[in-house]
Amino acid sequence: MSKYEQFFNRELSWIEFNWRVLEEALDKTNPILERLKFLSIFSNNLDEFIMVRISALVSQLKSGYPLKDASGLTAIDVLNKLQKRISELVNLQYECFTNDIQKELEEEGFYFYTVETLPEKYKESLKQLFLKKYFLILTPMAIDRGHPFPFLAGKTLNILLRLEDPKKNEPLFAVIPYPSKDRFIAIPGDETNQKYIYVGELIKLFANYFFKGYNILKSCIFRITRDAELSIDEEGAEDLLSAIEDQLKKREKGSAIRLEVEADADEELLDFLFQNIEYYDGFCFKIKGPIDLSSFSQIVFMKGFEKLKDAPSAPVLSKEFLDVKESIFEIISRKDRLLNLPFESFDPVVRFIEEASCDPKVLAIKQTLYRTSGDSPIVKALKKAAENGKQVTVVVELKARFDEAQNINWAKQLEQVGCHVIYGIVGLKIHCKVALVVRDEEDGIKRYIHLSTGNYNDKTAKIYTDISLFTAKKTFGKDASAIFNLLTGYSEPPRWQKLVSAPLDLRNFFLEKIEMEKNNVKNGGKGKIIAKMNSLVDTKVIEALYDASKAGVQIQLIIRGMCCLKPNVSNLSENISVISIVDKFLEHSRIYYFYNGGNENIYVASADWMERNFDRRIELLFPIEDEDLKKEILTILKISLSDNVKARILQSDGRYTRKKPDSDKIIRSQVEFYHYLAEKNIEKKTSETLFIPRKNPDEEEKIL
Amino acid sequence: MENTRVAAIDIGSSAIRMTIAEIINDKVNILEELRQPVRLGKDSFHKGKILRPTINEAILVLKKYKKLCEEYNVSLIKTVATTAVREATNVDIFIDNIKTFTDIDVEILSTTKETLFIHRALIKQLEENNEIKEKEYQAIIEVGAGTVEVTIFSKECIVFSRSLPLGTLKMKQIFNKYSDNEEHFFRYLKAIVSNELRTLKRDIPTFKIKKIYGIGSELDCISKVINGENNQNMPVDKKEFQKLCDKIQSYAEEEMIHRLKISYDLTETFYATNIMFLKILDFFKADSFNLPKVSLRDGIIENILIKQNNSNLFSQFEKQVKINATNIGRALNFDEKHAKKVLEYALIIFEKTKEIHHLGDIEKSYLIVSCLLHDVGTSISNRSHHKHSLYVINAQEFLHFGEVEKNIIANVARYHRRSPPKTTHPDYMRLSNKHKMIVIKLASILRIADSFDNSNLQLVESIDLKIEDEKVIIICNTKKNIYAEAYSFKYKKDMFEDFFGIAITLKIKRI
Repeated sequence: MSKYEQFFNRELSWIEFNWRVLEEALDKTNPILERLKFLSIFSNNLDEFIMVRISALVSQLKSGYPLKDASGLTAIDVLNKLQKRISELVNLQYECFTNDIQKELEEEGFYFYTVETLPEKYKESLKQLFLKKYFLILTPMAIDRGHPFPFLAGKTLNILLRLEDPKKNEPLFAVIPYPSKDRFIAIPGDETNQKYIYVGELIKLFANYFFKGYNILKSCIFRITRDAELSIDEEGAEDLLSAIEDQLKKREKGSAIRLEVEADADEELLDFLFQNIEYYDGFCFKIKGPIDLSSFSQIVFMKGFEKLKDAPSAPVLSKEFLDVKESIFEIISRKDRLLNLPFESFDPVVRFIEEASCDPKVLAIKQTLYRTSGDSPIVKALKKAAENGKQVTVVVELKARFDEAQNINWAKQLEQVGCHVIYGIVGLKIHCKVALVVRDEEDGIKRYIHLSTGNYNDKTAKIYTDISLFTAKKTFGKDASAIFNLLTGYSEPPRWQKLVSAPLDLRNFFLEKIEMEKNNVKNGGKGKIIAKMNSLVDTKVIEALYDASKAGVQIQLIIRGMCCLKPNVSNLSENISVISIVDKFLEHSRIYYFYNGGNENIYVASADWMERNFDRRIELLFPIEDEDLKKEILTILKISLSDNVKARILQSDGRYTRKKPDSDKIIRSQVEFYHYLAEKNIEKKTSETLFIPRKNPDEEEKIL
Repeated sequence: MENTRVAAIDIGSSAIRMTIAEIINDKVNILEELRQPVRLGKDSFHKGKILRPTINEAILVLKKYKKLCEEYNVSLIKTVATTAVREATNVDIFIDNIKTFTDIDVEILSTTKETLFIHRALIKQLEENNEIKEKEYQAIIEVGAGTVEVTIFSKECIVFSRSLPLGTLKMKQIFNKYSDNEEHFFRYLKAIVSNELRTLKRDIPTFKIKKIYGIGSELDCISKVINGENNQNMPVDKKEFQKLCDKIQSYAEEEMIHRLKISYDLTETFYATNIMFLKILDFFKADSFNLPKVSLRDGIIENILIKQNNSNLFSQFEKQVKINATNIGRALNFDEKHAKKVLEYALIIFEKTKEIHHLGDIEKSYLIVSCLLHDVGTSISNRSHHKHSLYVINAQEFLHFGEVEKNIIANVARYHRRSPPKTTHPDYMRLSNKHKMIVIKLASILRIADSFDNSNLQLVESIDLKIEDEKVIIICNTKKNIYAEAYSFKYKKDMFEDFFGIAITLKIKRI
């Protein structure tokens, strides 16, 4: 078997992940609004994938180097395959939308009108709305000899119009760009709140008000997706904050990659677009339905309509944290604590920072903020802490993809109230999630640490599965202080006591662990690895896993997204199995288990097994040492591995197939966790709703 | 006692380091350890001074450190600078800039004082682990950028300390010069090591050195490489070390970084320095050595702790000072019997006239050294030997005394005979007024003590002193006739009487 044959291509593997998302939309056992949600997520994922990964492949192609990836494919090979697969999937997506979901929604009373389907009786009130609002804010742009085709920002929707001047006989075109926010306009006077017209259709309907004296012959809606990778010359950038602000303005101007046009657009309009937009060859998609289904998240997250959604399950607040009168620091002092999000409540994390902000014994709070939510309670607590005279250090990663604008906002606010804000590290993205509270107690300084696989974002904490740990162990405290000294440029990395960090030695750490399992088997013992992560791409790790498998180490992998490892190949990976779980919560935790000759090691980390995590990011791995917590994590792994509803098995040819549920027991891991927690005798907290609106539901880490 | 938090900052040749610790019930608990590279040595050793960008870099690092200290409410920040700063021609500007921009006071440490701190930290560790016995000698080999400090110590104190001009940067230079002929390099090292340590060999046979401790960035990783991650505290076998050195010789830079996990800035000096260390081990005929995890900062913090507790510090210090001065005297072939006798008398006078001179422990330590070394000028010439003593003493290195203190001691020795201080004496005039007074008081005591052994034959068995009716009466107990002593006393008491305005009379008691 040649080396190339040992790997899957990462982009092709990613597209299969998005297929699994689409599958959830196709799955008729899911409630209708959940299915719509998955359609929306699919679109959103694909947009980002095109903006980042496909654009990168296109640049690679343009550079002229026929570089081969681990699977032996060049950029052009991959692009061709992607084009084909994307077309297939998008067709499936719209078939599902028009034939299935739209119809069912209509049965439930939801209508999304177009020019063609809008009942006459609504036209007058819509005209008034158009003239009062849209007529005033939109800017149509005529295109003729004197006015070239304008620059259109990525991801906005646009209408192209073919006009006719009755006096002249010259073809005339115009473009009206319009925002994709507030995509749906409720029909005025409709009390059900279920009847809408798409903004674009409304504009089409009354566009003649913009062009008095002209006739509108035809029109179509289209959208361009552009290259959106931030490229900042950091070495030269004195101030990362302003460099990113500048770059954000430029982002809209990346080169065009994809063009989406309404499928029924007229040939003349199409020709005109093809002449004026230089999208990447083959990446023009004719869409049989409304362009950009991601905006349907607005509908999905509307209040009410609970019967069309999954039954909400409230996160449980574990017993230890129930007593709000007790100091959280005492709770942590007694024993290490684990949170299994989103099945357990995120509240203790917020409480941790909030209590620290007004506790007189607290000297300092230090925290990384990678992606955080609008008016996040954590940011509020940090501000309060600074106002209360605590030393607050916040390490904000500005380079969190697609969140830069948001991050700059927090950074500035925090600085204003006196927090010490660090804007990341030149050349490395800060991806670790750690918070440290330093307290001056009777018997000396004591440090409390929170470490997690997920961001300090109370919104995503309800929809991403993550593991987080509270501890007051001295060794962890020393390391946590050291990591902040490193992030704030106070000190070089020290010798770690408990944590392992990237880009320093995380890859080697894993390679050594895998090697250790291999050697244990070679010496006649047992070898076992279980790893759960988002993506597995790193070639060195994959090769080490192959070696271990050949030696007889049993390897079970739970990989939600991309996986470049080929499982179940004889003489290579026959002892490796890979499953992927795609369900209503985004699988996001990274857990690594090594049998270690019976003295089991369990680690949790912010990093996947990917080059970018090992080499270009600051990541942290931490051991779970408490025996009870170890058992708990093992149970979590066990439940995930036994999933036979939402788990798919990766085959050696790259396909993912569903598990056939054993006749007697159906296990859906994301539901099973609630049962498990209930069994653990944890009392439920009921006040919270599970579903809350969000812009990009499946935002993080699905592109690369 | 309330918990206190202290910070020790060490401005070294390649980095600025800080340790923050809290002291709870006399136990030191390390909270933070930081290291930020600032290449002061590169400037100082190559350009002679610290360049502006490097000064600014140091200021920025210290500002950050200070901020971290504020986070912990640190009550005391002790900052020291070593070779690189000490040897820079613009040391004063550097220190002043730091004071101006960060409000941090930097103390320049002499190599001997550095050794003292390291010794303190190490002794503490050894005592805690019960690894040092009474009457046993151990050695510290501290490899710095400029010099290598060889220190022999016993449980009680440091008995010998010497700076060898074998610092890592020097090693690199010499090694590069001999790069085509390694044999020459080895021979050079052997010669210089045995030459520098010759005097040591006379006093303490090498077989008596029970253990050797290596300290230095270049040595740090050795134990981990040879003994493995989990046995880093075990002694390192010299043969293994030799093998490792042989291997390293062929390593490229990247290989060193990867295999030894050392930082990039050490690769240039690594091989030559370890070879040099090997030669020192050869000299001591050691089969193994230890690489303890102690730092200058540990010593500084330990010192703060000791000062806070005001424990029986001086007696140990006194012992240490005595041994150090005796070693110097021996190297200069002094008359040990005479020196010790004079010291004995001087201390009696010092203690019994405390209400007259009002001097304290630190001045007592000056007196001890000047008594022991007052005659070392005779090794140059007997004529005007007091003047020779002045510069000979000033040319020595003392473990516990800086330049100013050394000059006080040298002046006390100088005025043990002949002319009292005059404005035409430049070394005396260098002293502050306060120090001048100390010199006169101590010299007047030394003169009297010296007179009691004027014949250098230790004819006086013992002395006693009492103060009656505003007079000092000294009683000499002797079995012999002491004409010379009595005669000498007549003149030598003048300085005391003049300065304090108190008459002294001598009573000779035959026993």
